[in-house]
Order: sequence, then C-alpha cells, then structure tokens
Amino acid sequence: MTANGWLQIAIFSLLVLALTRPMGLYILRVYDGTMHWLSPLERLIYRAGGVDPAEDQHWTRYAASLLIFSAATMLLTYLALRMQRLLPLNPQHLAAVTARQSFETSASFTTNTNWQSYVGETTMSYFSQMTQLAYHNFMSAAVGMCGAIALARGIARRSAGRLGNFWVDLVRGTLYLFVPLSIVLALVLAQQGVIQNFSAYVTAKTLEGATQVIAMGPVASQEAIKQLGTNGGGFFNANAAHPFENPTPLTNLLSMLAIFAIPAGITWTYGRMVKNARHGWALWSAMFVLFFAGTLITYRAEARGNPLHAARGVNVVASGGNPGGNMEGKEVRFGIANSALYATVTTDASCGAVNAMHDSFTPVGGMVPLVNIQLGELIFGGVGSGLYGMLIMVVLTVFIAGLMVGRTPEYLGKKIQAPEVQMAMLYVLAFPALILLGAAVSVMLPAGLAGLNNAGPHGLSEILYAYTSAAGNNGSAFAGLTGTTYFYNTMLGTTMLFGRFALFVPMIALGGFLSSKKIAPASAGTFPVTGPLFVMLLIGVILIIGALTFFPALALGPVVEQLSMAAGRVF
Amino acid sequence: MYDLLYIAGTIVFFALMLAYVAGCRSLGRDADAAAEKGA
Repeated sequence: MTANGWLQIAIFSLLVLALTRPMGLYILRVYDGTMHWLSPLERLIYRAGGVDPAEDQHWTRYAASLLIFSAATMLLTYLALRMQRLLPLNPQHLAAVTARQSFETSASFTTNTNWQSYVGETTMSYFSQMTQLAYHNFMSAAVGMCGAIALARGIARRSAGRLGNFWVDLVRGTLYLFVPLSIVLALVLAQQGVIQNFSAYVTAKTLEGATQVIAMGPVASQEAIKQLGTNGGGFFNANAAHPFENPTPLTNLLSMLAIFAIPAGITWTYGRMVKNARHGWALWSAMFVLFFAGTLITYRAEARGNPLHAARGVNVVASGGNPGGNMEGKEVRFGIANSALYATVTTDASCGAVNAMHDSFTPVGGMVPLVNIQLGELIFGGVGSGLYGMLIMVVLTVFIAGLMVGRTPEYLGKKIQAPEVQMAMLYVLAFPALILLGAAVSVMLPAGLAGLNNAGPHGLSEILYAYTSAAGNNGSAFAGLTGTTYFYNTMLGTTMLFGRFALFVPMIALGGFLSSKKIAPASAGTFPVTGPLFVMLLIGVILIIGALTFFPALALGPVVEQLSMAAGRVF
Repeated sequence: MYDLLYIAGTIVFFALMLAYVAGCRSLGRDADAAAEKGA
C-alpha cells in the first residue's frame, strides 16, 4: 500500500461526503414535487399516458403498476433484440440476438443487473444499445428510486397504505434526476476522450502488421447513465477497463463518484423525509464504515500480492516504477489502489461496472466484492435499492434492540409488529435462498459444471459469484465462468427477476403496513436511531446476518483458496 | 419454440409476482386483525 493510493482513496471519500447534502437536497425536491422546470413536458407525458398525477396509490396498486411496467418493457426489449437484424442503426449488420441471450439480457437490464453474457461490440447494434439497453439503464434506475421513496413515505407519514404515485415518481425521477445528470456527465466524459459516434468499426494495421478491428459507438451517453444509475453494463466487453469507456484518471474518479452520488445523497433525503436528519447521517455512517473496511481489506490483499510470485523472484514491493502487489487482471493505468477502490465501490453499489477483473484478484481481495453483494448491496447500494435494503436491516435492528430491552420495538414512532417483521424476513431470506440454491443446483449438474474454467475452490467462487451478482442485481462478473449456455442464461436470468421483484414486493408491503400506523412521540424508552450505538448495532446486524448465511459457502470458496495459496497451491 | 417458452415464462413470472402482492396484503390484513384481537 502506498501513500499515493491512500491519498486517492481519501480524496474520493471526502468527495462522496461533500456530494451527499447537495445531491440529497436535489433528490428531495425531485420527489416532493417542488421542482418544476420541466413541468410542460411532465404534464404532456401524464396526458399521453392517461396518468392522474394527483392519485395517491395504495401500496398494492403502486407495486402492481411497477410490475406491469417492468413486464411490458422487458418483453419489448426481448422482441427488439430478437428482431435486431431488421431494425436500423446496425452498420455492422449484426444478427438477431439468440433467444436465450435475449431473455437473460432483457431480464438483466430490466432488473438493473446488467449482467452481460455477450460481447457488446459483436452482439448489440447501436439501435439495441441506445433504445433498449440505455433505455433500461434509465428506467430500471428510476424504478429503484421509486421503491426507496415509496418505502420512505410509508415510514414518514400516516396515509392508510398510500405511498404516492408510481407513474409520477417514475417520470419525475427520469426527467429531473437521471436525464439531466446523465447529459452533464456524458459531456464531461466526451471531453475527456470517451467516444460518441455512429461510425462503422475502424480497421487498423498494427505496428506488427496485424489487422485489428476497433469498435466504435455512442459510448459517452451510455457510460454516464451506466454509472449514475448503478447499472454497470459496459458498451464494450472490457467495460470500464476499456480506454474508450474510461480513458483518464479523471474519468475513473468521476465514474466512481457517479456510482455513489445518488445512493449517498438519498440517505440525506431520507433523513429530511422522516424529519430526523441525524438518522439519515447515521445510515450514511454505517454505510461508510462498511465501505471503508471493504476498501482496506481489498487494497491490502492486492497490494501484498500473491506470495507464490514473490517466491519465484517477482518484485511485489511497490516502488517508483513498479506498482508491486498483484497486477494480474488490472489496468496499469489504474494500478492497485484504484482497482481495489473501484471493485469495492461497484459491488457496494449494485453497479457491476469493472475496471479490473475480479477473478484475478487474490482470494481475499476477490472475496470482498463477493461479500459486499451478499450483504445485500446496502453499502450505499444501488440507486434506491441501497436505501431500501438498509431500511430492512434497520427494521430488524430495531426489532432486535426492542427484544433486548423487553419493549415493543418502535421505529421513528411506529410500532414494529408481526406483519412488518414478516415482510422484512421474506426480504432477508429470499435473497440468500436464490444465491445458495442456484449455486447448489449448478455444482450438482453437469450443465452447471460445464461452464467452469477453474477447478477446486476457485471454481466454486466463480459459480457463487455469478448467482450472487444475479440475485443482487449487481451484474459484475467474476469471469472464468462461461455463461453463454442455455443453462446459465436461463438460470441467471430467472435469478435476476426473483432477486429484484421477489424482494421488491415485501419491501413495498412493509412501507404500506407502516404507513397505516400511528406515529407515537418519542419517550425515554425509545431506542435512539442516531448515535454511535445505533450505527454499531446496525453494522453488527448486517454482518451477523451476512456471516451466518454465507460463511459456509465462503469457507469452501475464497477462504480455503486463500489458505491453499499460503501453502503454495493455486487454482 | 424457445421464444414462446421465454415469453410465456416471463408472463408467468410477473403474474406470480402480482399474486405475491395479493398474498402479502392478506398476510398484513390477517396479522393486523390478530394483533387488534390480541390487544
């Protein structure tokens, strides 16, 4: 580890802190309806869609609207990918996407996962990239925000199950939040060298005399929403390691800030919505502690490198001209600190963009991204989904704290009773069930093992990572697993759908139940949700639930691999 | 053939999720009623 590396991590952390309040205030104004500068366009959309913006939907109607919208857009994307050959903006004359990949890709982008089992530059036309994938980048992010805002409303007010209007939240989130921010970021990225064109691919002669095809495309516009919406799907197969997606140190920093900006800001928004700003900062603090711990572990593991390399005479100590450590799978441009930081940020959030290959990290370095997703992607998390995942943990924390002191658990003046805990438990149990059952089925079936490129514990890590990424709607790939098969396309696509919507339903139900409750004033016996004690207890609950659920699987994968590596064996 | 399977599967999935919404609603209603009765 170097002072330069720590300085860059410290600068990033301070910038996230500085962005939280202004971004939170902006988000608050988007969703409380006080921002109006696009109101003519907004009204036009409502009129065209037959939406009554004044309608305050019951949570069941809110959830049903979201599900129907997602189903319709997913099916539309499926059909568009299958008919790609017939559609415009296809200068490379790319063929129709196969049925299995169309299913997985449409599920992937609808659920904000953006797992890609295809090579973007040789599979997707510009039309598919821009009208389908980029469209979902905006919509799936806006849907995630709808979930968080609806739950926050349920906690903040007493409204007999009414949580707002899904269509209004969707339109306002897209128009006022994601589109303007994406335009600004895309322009900055283009200025830095991210390409934006509709050219046919360029054929170049290399210095060695070989012929190389250089892919082109409208990258900057897709890159901006990819990061801001914590989507993560790369225009190119190499994702943010590709120089046309992430050309400079500044674009690397901006990409990471864009990933955390909205998830960090919405904690402030939430504090204001529930009229307890310190509670919002307490959530931010818990997220930051977990983020920093993950960064520290990954950076340390990668900077120490592989002891087998050192034993064979490779200099793994950082110096002026040598990054040291484990540079396998990493861009020399970014080095170890920025690769470790990026890997932590992208898996804390549900982004999935990568600037280094997680499969090539040391076992412990690769375990951190895996664990980040398994904790529920609530360390800042995906746009919207990070906050609602964290609020589920808060409900459980308050419930456990209430049991400890023998009082009926209360959260911000609302009693937490059986229905609320049942919804929280449905959320908490469905997630690991998807991961562990999917991975278990895959290691038992020949079709699951057929995709493996590594044996032993590393192979298990690859399968575990794939299901973790799919269920968590992260989308980053560990690599090393061939996912372009009927088995994996179908299994992972289905896991993504359950990972998004089977968790969304109990979460929105929880908001509905809480909105029906009276708000009692705080008393001497009320468990405080603002101080260090609460932050520590919240972190403890998150880690215990994660550890109890996933430790056995992790012990068979990255933990045993790390011990084997120390003993001189790699997989 | 595969197109039909994937499209039908997607529709069935979302129908299942709508049923899940109804199930959660009845769970909340039953539990609320039980809580009121207990109180």
